Parts: sequence; C-alpha cells; structure tokens
Amino acid sequence: MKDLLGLRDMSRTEIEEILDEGLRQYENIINRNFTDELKDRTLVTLFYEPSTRTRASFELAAKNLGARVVSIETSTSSVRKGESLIDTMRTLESMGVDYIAMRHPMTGAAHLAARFTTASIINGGDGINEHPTQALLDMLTMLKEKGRIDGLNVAIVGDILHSRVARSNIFGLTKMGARVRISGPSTMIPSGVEFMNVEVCEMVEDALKDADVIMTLRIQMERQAGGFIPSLSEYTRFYGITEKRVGLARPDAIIMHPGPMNRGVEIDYCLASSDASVIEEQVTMGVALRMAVLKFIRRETDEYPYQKRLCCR
Amino acid sequence: MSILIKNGYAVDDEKEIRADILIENGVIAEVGDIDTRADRVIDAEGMIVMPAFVEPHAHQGDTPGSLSLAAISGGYTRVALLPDSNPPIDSEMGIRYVEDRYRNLPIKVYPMGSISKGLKGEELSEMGRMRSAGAVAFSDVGGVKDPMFISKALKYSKPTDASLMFLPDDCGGLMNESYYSTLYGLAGIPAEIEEILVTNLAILSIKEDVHVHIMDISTEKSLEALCQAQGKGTRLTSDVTPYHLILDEGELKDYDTNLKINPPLRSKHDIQALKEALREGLIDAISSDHKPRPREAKYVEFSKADFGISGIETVFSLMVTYLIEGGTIGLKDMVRLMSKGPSEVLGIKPVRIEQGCEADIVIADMSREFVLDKMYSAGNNPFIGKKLKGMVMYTISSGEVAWERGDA
Repeated sequence: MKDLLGLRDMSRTEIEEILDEGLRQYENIINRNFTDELKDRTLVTLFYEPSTRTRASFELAAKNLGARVVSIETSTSSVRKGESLIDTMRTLESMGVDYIAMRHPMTGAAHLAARFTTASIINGGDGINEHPTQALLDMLTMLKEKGRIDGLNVAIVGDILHSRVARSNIFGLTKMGARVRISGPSTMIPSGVEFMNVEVCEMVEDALKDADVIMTLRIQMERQAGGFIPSLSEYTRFYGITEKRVGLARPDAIIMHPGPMNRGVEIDYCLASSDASVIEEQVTMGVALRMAVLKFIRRETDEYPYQKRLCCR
Repeated sequence: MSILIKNGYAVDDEKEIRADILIENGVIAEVGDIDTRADRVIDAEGMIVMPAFVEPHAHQGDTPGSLSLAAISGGYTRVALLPDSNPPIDSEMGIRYVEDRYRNLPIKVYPMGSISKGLKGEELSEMGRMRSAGAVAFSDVGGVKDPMFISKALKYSKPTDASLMFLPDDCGGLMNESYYSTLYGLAGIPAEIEEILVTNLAILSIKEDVHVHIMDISTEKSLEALCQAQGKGTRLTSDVTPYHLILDEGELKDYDTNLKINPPLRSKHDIQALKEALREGLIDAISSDHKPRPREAKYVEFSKADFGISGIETVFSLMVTYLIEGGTIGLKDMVRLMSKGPSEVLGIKPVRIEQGCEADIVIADMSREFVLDKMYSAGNNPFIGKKLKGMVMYTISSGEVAWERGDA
C-alpha cells in the first residue's frame, strides 16, 4: 500500500495487519526497544492546521524507527506565498522524501496530494472527512483494553457531522464487527449516517446503555459559531459525559477522547482522569500505531524522481 | 453560396424524413428529392441532419475564438452568454461590449444582462436599457437569495418581455447532501435549497405573469413543484444538463474536481425522475451550462476548486451515448430539447427543417465512436478519456459551412 488516506476504502484484513503490528510496537515502546529499520527513510510532517499530539506522535514514531524527520511549518513556508498543494508535493518529492504526514483543512486534500507524488501520503486529518491514524489508534486501544473489537458496543457522542475522528472510527469499527451507536444534537448528525451500519440515538442515554466503549468527541468551539448548537452549557446538559450517564454503560466500560479535551463541556472534569478513562493510553497507542503504519506503507517505486531525471540527461 | 445536403436523414422536433436539403442565401430553399447544382454538395448518407443546437446559458470564461470553436464543433450556432464576467455585465454598456466582442464569429452570441447591479442581489440593474441594447434574458446566476428581491425584479422586468433565469445557491456546500456526502466527508448542498427556490419562483411567476426559467433543474421534488406550477398556467420553464442525467453523486468518491458542479450531482433516484420528465416534456431544454475554467482553478483541493464543467462541445455525444442509445429519448426529443426548446426559452425563432427557415443546420454521424482527448475550450470535463458515440460532422451557420470535421 502506497498511502494511508482513510479507512473508507481499507479492508478488514489490512486494518487487522496494522493493529497486530501496532501491538508489537506497543511492546517495543514499553520496553524502550527501538530499532533503526527505517534509517534511510525520511518523513516530512506537513500540517496546514494546528496540532500538537498528532504531529509529535508522527515525529516520535518515525524517530523510534530510526527515520529522519523534517517538519514544515505552513505558516512560515512558501505555502503562505500561495504555492499550490500539488507544487508543494512535487517540491518535497524532488528532495527525496519517503513519507509525508499531512493535515489539511479541506476534504480530499490527502487524496489529491497522493495522486501527484511517489512519496507515501499519510492522512493526518483532511477537513471533516477522515483521520485514519486516530481511528486506528482508538481501535488499538480497544483491542489492548478489551482483547477484541468484534462484538464491542461502542458509543460515539458529540459533533458527528464535523468529526473526522467519528467518520474514520465508524468506517473502521463497523468493518471490524463492532456495534456502533452514535448520539449528538440532531444538527450535528450527518444525513444518511444510518445507512452506514450505525444506530443513531436521539438520547445520549440510549447510546450509552451497555456500552463497552464510550468515545466522546471534542466540541469544536470554532464550529459552534456556525449555529449548530445554541450554547455549550445546553450541550453539556444533554450530551455531556457525566458520572451518572457512565453508570448506564457496562461496569468495565472505558472512556476515550481523541483530544484536545474541553473538560467540563463534553466530559466531566474528574471523569477524564478517572480509572475508566484511557485517554492518556490512547496517546501512547498513537505512537505505536504510527510506527506500525510507517512499516506498513511504502513508496511503490524504489527509484527517487531525481535519479530518474539524472538518467535521462 | 448554395449548399445541397444529399441523402441525409432529416430530423426536427416534428418529423423524421429522408430528404435532400438545398440551402441558398442563408435560408433553407427546398426540402425533398432535389437534383440540382449547388456550390457545395455534402453527401450525408448515413447521417442525420438537424436544426443546429442552441445553448440557453453558457458562462463567461472563454475567449470569443475558443467559445466559437467549442460551440460550432459541438453543433451549436447560438449561445446565450451569462453576465458572470468580472466585472459583470450589468449595464447597457456591458451588453454592447459583449455584442462587440463576439461579433464576426460563425456563431451568434446573445448577451444576457444581470438582474441586480454587480450580481449582488441588492439593487435592480437597468434591465430596460440592457434589453433595448439587445440583452436576450436576465440572470444573476446563483446570486439571488431574497424572495422579496426576486418578486421586485419580476415585477420590474415585465415590460422587457424577457425571461429571468435562476440557479440555486450552493450555500457553501460541495456536493449533494445525502448518505454520500457523509461517506465522502464533503459538506452537503441540501436538495431543499433548489426545491424552495423552484417553489418560490412558481408562486412569483404566477403572481407577476413573467417568464421565469430554472437553470439546471436537478431534483425529483423540484420537478414536482414545476409540474404543479405548470398546471396553474405559469410561464415557468426549465433546463437540465447532461451531467445531471448521466452521473450520480457516487461518482465523487475520488474527489474529482471536474465533477464539482452546482447544482451538485444528485441521487440515482433523481436521475430517474429527470429522465421521466425529459420524456414527458416537463423539461424544456438541455443546457451544457458551459463553464470553462483554467487548470489552476481545478487542479487544487476540492473545496478550493471552482464549480463547473466545460462541455458545450460534448453535449451531443453525451446525449447519443447515454440517452439515445439507452432509449431514454428519441431523435425528435433530442432536437426539441437542444434546438427548439432553448430557442423558445430565449424568445428567438426556432429553426425547423423546412423551406424558409434560417439555415442553421448540423449534420452528424450517430454511429461514429471516438475517445474524447482534446477540447477547444478549457479541459475541465469529466468525460475526457472516455469513449463516446455520435460525432458532429458539419455545422452550417446562416447558410455557410462554418465547421467540418476534417476526416469526414
């Protein structure tokens, strides 16, 4: 596989392979047992949107495998001078880059990038579309905590419409055989989502009942301006994850959050640090999972474009 | 200059006959079994001869030369041009400028004026002066949102006796809002936006008794609203693009910016309803909604890309490949939708294959196949690389052979 663009078009087998490797890499992280198997490879992180954890996670994952890492700050790069995404790709390719982990505010940007470079594109989030490594690390966390994904009851709560995390998780979890229920204000439920093999619950309580996994999403403060909900406090009243609501789930249910959290809005302040919370675990899993992804995908051609150009001279 | 078209199969909206056609002094001089001398004899054996096509609304973006070549090679001799240039055509001077710029071409370009100044939907533009300078119709493209402004515009434009054309707003969306927009993670354009517009226009056109035209109608419920309104005697007409008849929303899975159009590609269900409406005559015309865009406006992220398809030169082949071949419509229907219908929408005299009519004629080979590889206009067309059937061989404009395929 050349690129990791999304879980929409991935098969269950491919997902399982990455998750298995992710578990192995998790062991390696725990034992501080790092290799240099990607020492001749280069990763560029190209983030058109702010990010702390995803970007650091990609860079650490690459370094743990011995790869060289360059990070491009789009606010100071030629992107600001109006360079098109395609030209940025050609430029990076000409430098001999192997992996480009990119985040972009527009849907399909990673797909466009992938078409115009021989380097491997890893989608670190594209608009409201997908965030595949997040969903994979979420599944890796479930796998580690619960030993399986097949048959788990997973409740996803929040702004499903604008959440690339939710979308990728829905694709992945349903492929892996989990039962997915979603809940959120009706304005934040995307149309036709009921045909994606998920159950839509108007009341958050219905979604949480007997859940093995509670996944709460960040309420994006910047989106609220779009008028999808009247206020954060109204949201918290009806959809916030509280101790009482968690009581509806299985006693051993785990609570997940892709971060960054708004404590006191989508999740109760103390709950985020409770025993049921695996939020920090997710972050560790993120590094392991991204190591697995870097091992899993590779450029299809061994020949770097500049070598080809030299040959032609 | 006289032209004799021999052995062709002549089709217009009323008839299909095997006949020769003699053209003299820019008009059809005779139809029937003709054996006379002419300056030019075209053997149309195995080909169909039709009134040339009329484009009810093309967008600005071509040079006069490229628009002309694209149109004429696609069998079009008359093109109404929307006022969406920069700056927009919103004054008498603008209309005169378009007329001047598109003069001396083998095609006839009919300028359209804006409804509001600067296409802003705030103040009425000088529709009276523009009409007297030659504006064929008025449109703000997708810009008008306020129903009260539409009401005022309809009322004011009544004495000009020109149609007002409307297109729904994209509302910041990128594709049809549905299961597919959720699947592909693209912001949706709800079908209701169009349906509300059609309903509003139906109410207003009845009240003001003004000819209102809906561009690129695309949903089943819009058609229902249109059908209801027509029962009440409104002067509400509509057209549809070939894309909305052929491609559905599922095609957007790879984020091909050449499929980004407004109104967006809709569901398979809508396509069925559109085809039905086409057969029944509810829809008046086919439009390419020709919208040439430079590469830099399409080789970008999907959200950043401009809307629109450059397609005036491919409409005929698409109709033959996907609608005639599939049996959705017949030849007479095609001529009605591509020549007579659009002429009537624009209020210009339709051409028929009969004596005395203006000789705007297209001769086409229905069975010839080709791979679309190059375009005279901009290349933002999703059918590039696809195998199509049906090729325009000759286009005659005002009695002159304006275009012919070299290898005929």
